[in-house]
Amino acid sequence: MTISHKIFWGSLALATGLLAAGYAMKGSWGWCVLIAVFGLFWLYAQRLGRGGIGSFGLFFFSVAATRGTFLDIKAGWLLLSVVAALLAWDLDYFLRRLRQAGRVEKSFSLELNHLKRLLAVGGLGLLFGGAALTVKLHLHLGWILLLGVISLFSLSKLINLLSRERE
Amino acid sequence: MVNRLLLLGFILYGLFLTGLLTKAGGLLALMAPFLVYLGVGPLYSPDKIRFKISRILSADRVSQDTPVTVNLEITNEGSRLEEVFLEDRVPAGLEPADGAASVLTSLEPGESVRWQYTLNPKRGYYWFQGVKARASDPTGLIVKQEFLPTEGRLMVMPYTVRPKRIAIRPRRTKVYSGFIPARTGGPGVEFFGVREFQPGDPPQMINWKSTARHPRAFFTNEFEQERVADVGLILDARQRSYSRVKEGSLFEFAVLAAAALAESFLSDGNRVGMLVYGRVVDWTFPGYGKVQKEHILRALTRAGPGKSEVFDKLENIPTRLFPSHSQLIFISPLIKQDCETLFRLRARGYQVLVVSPDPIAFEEKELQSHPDFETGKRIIILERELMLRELRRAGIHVLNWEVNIPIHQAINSTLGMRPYWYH
Repeated sequence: MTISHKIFWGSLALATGLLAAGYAMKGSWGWCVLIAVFGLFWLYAQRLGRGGIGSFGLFFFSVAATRGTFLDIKAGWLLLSVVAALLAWDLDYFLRRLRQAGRVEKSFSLELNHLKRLLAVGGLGLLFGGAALTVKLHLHLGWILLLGVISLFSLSKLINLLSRERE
Repeated sequence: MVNRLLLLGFILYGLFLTGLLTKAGGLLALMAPFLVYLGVGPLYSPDKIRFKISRILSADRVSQDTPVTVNLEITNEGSRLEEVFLEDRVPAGLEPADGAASVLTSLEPGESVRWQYTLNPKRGYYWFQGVKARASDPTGLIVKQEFLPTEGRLMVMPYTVRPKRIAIRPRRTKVYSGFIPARTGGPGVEFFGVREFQPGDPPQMINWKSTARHPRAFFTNEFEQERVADVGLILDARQRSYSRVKEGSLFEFAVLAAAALAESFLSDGNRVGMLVYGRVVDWTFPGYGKVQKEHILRALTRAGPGKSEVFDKLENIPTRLFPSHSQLIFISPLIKQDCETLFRLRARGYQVLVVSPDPIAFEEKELQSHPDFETGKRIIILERELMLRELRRAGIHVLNWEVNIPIHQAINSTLGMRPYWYH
C-alpha cells in the first residue's frame, strides 16, 4: 500500500466521518447512513479500480455539504469535509492513472510531488475557505449583483481557459 | 468518465448560484478549495511536448512465436513535465507478453526514459506507428497530447518444417536433374526398360538375359531419369472456406502446410510458384532455391483470408500462370463446389494434389456441447468422405490432414510414399 492509498483512505474517511457526524448531530439519521454507505461504496469501487464513482462521490459530498449548510451543521466541519472529498477525488483519479500505466518510473517521486501539490491545494483551500467563513461583509443588493456577475464572468473565463489548454 | 473540468465547473456554479439565491455565505466559502484546485492547473500546465524517440527491435524478421524485444528510449527536449504518460502504439494483433508498452513518469529537461517489452507475435506484417505522449499538470485537468511518429517494421513468418521428400509425378519435368521420375529412360536409379545396345553404353549396363535370347543383338538396361519439375502451390484464402474457433483460424494451418510444401519442393531443386487465391490473387512467380523460398515466405506472411465477389468461386483461378502438365498442389479445407474446378484442372493434364486441413476435427471441440453434435458430425463426415472419394476417383491425390497431427508427420506418412497411381 503506497502513501497515496493511505492519504486517499484517510481523506475519504475524514470526508465521510465529518459529514455523517454533522448530520447525526442534527438528527438527520437517514442522510447520516446514506453518507456512510456512500463513503464505503466509494472505497470499494476504488479498490476494484472502477472509474466514474469518484466524480459522482465528489458531487454527492458537495450536495450533502450544501444541504448541511441549511441544517446549521458546523461550517468548519463542512469545509473540512469538502476539502477531504476533493483530495479523495483527486487521489482516486491519480491512483487509477498509476494503475492503468503498464509501468511507473520514479513512482515515489511522482507520488511525492503529486501529494505535495495536493496538500498545498488542500491547505490553501482550507485557509481561504476558513477566511471566507470568518470575514463578514454587509453589502447592498447592487454590490452583491455586481460582484456576482463579475465572479460568474471570471469563473467562466477560468473554465474556458482551462478547456482551451486541454488538448 | 465524467469530464473532471466540467464537474468542477458544475459544482462551483451550483454553490455560487445557490449561495447567492439563498444568501448563504457558507456556500461561497465552500467554493474556495475548488477554486484553488482550478488555479493549480494553469500554474503547472505542461508546455509543448518535444521528445526524441528511438525504438529498437531485437529482430525485424522472425519466425512466428519467436519472442521479440522492443526497446524504447525517449528523451525530453522540452521543458519539465510533471506527469507524462507514454504509450507505444503496438500494432493490432500484437500483445506484450512481458513488460508493458506504456510508462508513466516525470521528465526533467534533457532526461531520458528507457523501457522494454516483449512480444510473442503471430504470423503477419506489423508496422509500428509511433508513441502517444500525454502530459498533464498534477491535477490532471490540463492535458496535452501528442502523437510522435516513429516507424518500425516487424515481419513474422510462418514456421517452416521440412518434411521428407514428397512423391509427385507430373507429366512434364524440366531438363535439370532432380528427384522426380521423368517418364524417360536414361541415367537413374529405378529400372525403366530395355533397349538395343548403342555404342558408348557402359558394358555393365548390358542386360545379359535379353541378349542371350537374341543372339544377334545386345540389349542395355535403361533407368528412369529423375529431374526437377514445375510445382504450383495454390493456397485457398477465401474466407468462406475457413472456419474460425476461439483458438484461431484454420487458415493458419493452411499457411503452415504451404510453407512446409514449399520448403520440401524447393530443397529438392524444383521450380515452385505460389498463388494465394482469396480477396485478391497474390502470385509469386516461379523460381528456384533460397531466394524463392524467401519470396514464398513473404507472400505467406502477408496472406490472410478475405472475401471477393470475383474470386469467390475457384473456377476463376488463372490457370495460365502454371505451365501445362505441371504439378499443382491445392491447399484448402475444400468446399463442395471446388471439386468441379479440380476435375477440370485434372482433365487439362495437370497432376493435382490436394492438401486439405480437416475442418471437422478442427471445429469439433468447440461444438461438442451442442445437443445435435453427434448426428451433425456423422452427416458432415459422410459428406466430406464422399467428396474426397470423388476427387480420388478422378485421379487427384488427397491428403486429409487432421490438424492436431504436425504437418510434417502427416506429409511423411501419406505423401512420402509413392501414390497409388505411380506404378
